[in-house]
Formats: sequence, C-alpha cells, structure tokens
Amino acid sequence: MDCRGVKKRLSAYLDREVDRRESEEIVQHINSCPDCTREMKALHDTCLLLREDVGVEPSQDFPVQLYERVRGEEDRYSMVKKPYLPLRSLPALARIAVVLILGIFIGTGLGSLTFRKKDVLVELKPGQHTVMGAKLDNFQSIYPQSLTRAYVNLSTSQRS
Amino acid sequence: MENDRKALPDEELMLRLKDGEVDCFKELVLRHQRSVINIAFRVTGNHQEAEEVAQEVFLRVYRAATAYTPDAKFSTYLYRITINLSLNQVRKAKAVLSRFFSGEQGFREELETRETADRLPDTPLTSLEKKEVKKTVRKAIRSLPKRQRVAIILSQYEGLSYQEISKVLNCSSKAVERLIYRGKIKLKKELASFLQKE
Repeated sequence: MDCRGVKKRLSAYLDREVDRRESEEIVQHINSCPDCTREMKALHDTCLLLREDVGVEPSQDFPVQLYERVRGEEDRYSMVKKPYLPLRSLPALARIAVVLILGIFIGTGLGSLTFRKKDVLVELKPGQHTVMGAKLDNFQSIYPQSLTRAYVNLSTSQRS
Repeated sequence: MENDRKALPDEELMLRLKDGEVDCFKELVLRHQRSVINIAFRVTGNHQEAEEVAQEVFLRVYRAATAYTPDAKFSTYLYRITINLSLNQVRKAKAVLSRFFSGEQGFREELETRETADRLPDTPLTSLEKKEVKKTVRKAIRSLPKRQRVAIILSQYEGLSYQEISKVLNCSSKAVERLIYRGKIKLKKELASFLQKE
C-alpha cells in the first residue's frame, strides 16, 4: 500500500471499519512512514476534539410536553371516530329508550312500505280512510306480529 | 412490568404500541430522546429548535405505530426521520436569515434573541478554553455540507457503523466512508489551531 492509498483508508481504520488483513497493511506502512503517522495522529486528535462536545441534555419539560401533544392527538382521533350519536355517554335506561323509539319509527316505516306494496296491487277508492283506501281482506298476508298488523287492528277497532 | 419493558427490543415495543400499550411509547422516548435531541442539535445548532424537532419526530413515530411493521431496525427509521426534520428546520432557518439580512422589521430582534439563548452554556464548564473548543467544534460541524455533517454526527456521536449509516442515508457503505473521510479532512482544517496546541 502506498501513502495515497493508506491516507484514504486512515479514517475507516480509526473507525474500525477495515478488515484484519487491510488493518495489518496500514499498521505496517505507518510504522515506516512519518508523514502518514502525522496524518493519522491529526485525524485521531480531530476525533478526540469532536468528542469534547458531549452534547445537550433534554429539558425536564420535554417528555411532559410531548405526552400532552400525544394526548391531544388521541382526543382528535376519538372525535373523528365517533362524531355523531354519543350513546355511550347516556345512562342505560336512556339508551334503551332511544333504541325503542328508533325501533318504533323503523318498524312503522317498514310496515308502511309493506302496505304500499299492497296498495299497488289493490285499486284505491277515494273516500276510504285509515288504511289508505285498501280493503281489509288485502291484509291477510301481513305478518301477524308486525307493527303494521297492530296498527291495522287498532284502526279497525276504532272504526267499529 | 416496567422492568419487563426495559428488556424489550425497540421493535417489540413498537409492536406493543401498535396493540395499544402506550407505556411502550414512553419507554421508547426515554431510550432515544437524548440521541434524537442531540442529532437535531448538532444539525440545527439551536437547542430549542432541536427539542421542537425531537417532539415532531416522536409524534410521527406515535402516529406511524398503527401501520408499523418491523422491516428494518427501529433506530434506522428513527434517525432517518430525525435527520429529515432537522434538515427541514435548517432550511426554514436559512429562510429566516435571508429575511434578517434583508432588514425585515422585527426579524433582527427575534434572531438576536435566539442567538443569545444559544450562547448560554447548557452545562457548567470548567474552563474558558473548553467552552471555546465546544463552540468551535459545533460551528465547524455546522459548516460541513449536509450529508457529510449527518454522516459525521451519526458516526462520531451516535456510534453507528458505516453499514448502519448507509441504511439511514440510503447509500452504499463506500459512499458513507467517503463522506466521513472528507468531513474529517475539513474538520481537521477548521480545528487546526486547537490541534497545534495539543
């Protein structure tokens, strides 16, 4: 190895990034070359000077501020996930009441959809009321336990 | 439980954070905060900015936990974010400087305040000479081209191998060796006055 080759590898040698064979060649050359010895010492001392700067310590507030920001992220995320009905925040009885009311509306809506299908099949006559003009015998196929059947029974009992 | 977490490797802590164990995130912060802050500090030259960068680094780690897969060493990933954000901060600071020199009102006062804060010692020093060395070393490192600066910081201060640095910088080990070699040659010239005294 000549001086040029050795000088190029001195930095890696000092950082222990050369293999054993190359390391031995460098050492052999340095032992007989004052110029390369000076260069190695200068690089070595430069690295020692760099290490005089031990750096800074994290401020005491650093982790506290960081965890506050993380908590802020979590709050934003949970609001995005649940933007609408905050059912969990209601007491149990209130939750049951909400579900029942929603169920009644949905059931009535579905029942009137079923009824309308019957309307399409039956000729409507003006003047007839409560069950929107269709005849009672058209409701034989309505499911007996449905809200629609309950409504029909109620309205016919009122009429009679 | 806390002792168990201390024994876990970084990658395992991230996987547990992915499962919702927030204490694992705290362990990661404790382990790496000093390194992250110091890398950012040596790149930016300002302690306050370095901590702001470090906050952002760890926030990104936290956000990324839900999609984390241990494809590479956690530290490689962490250092890469740190360096990118630190260099972004340097670019922003240069924009501030250009406004300073153009005489924009208020900026001169703001920058002078920041520079004063940076001159205050972080730790008690035993002699003026050591203080001067530290200041000169920091200035010399900041004068290096970006990639040489980062390679020197990771090698000399964080103890990473050339192979590890190559993964952070996304280049070959040979390229890392060249960066460090050229960086040291420049630093040797910058610090020549101290070397002659030795």
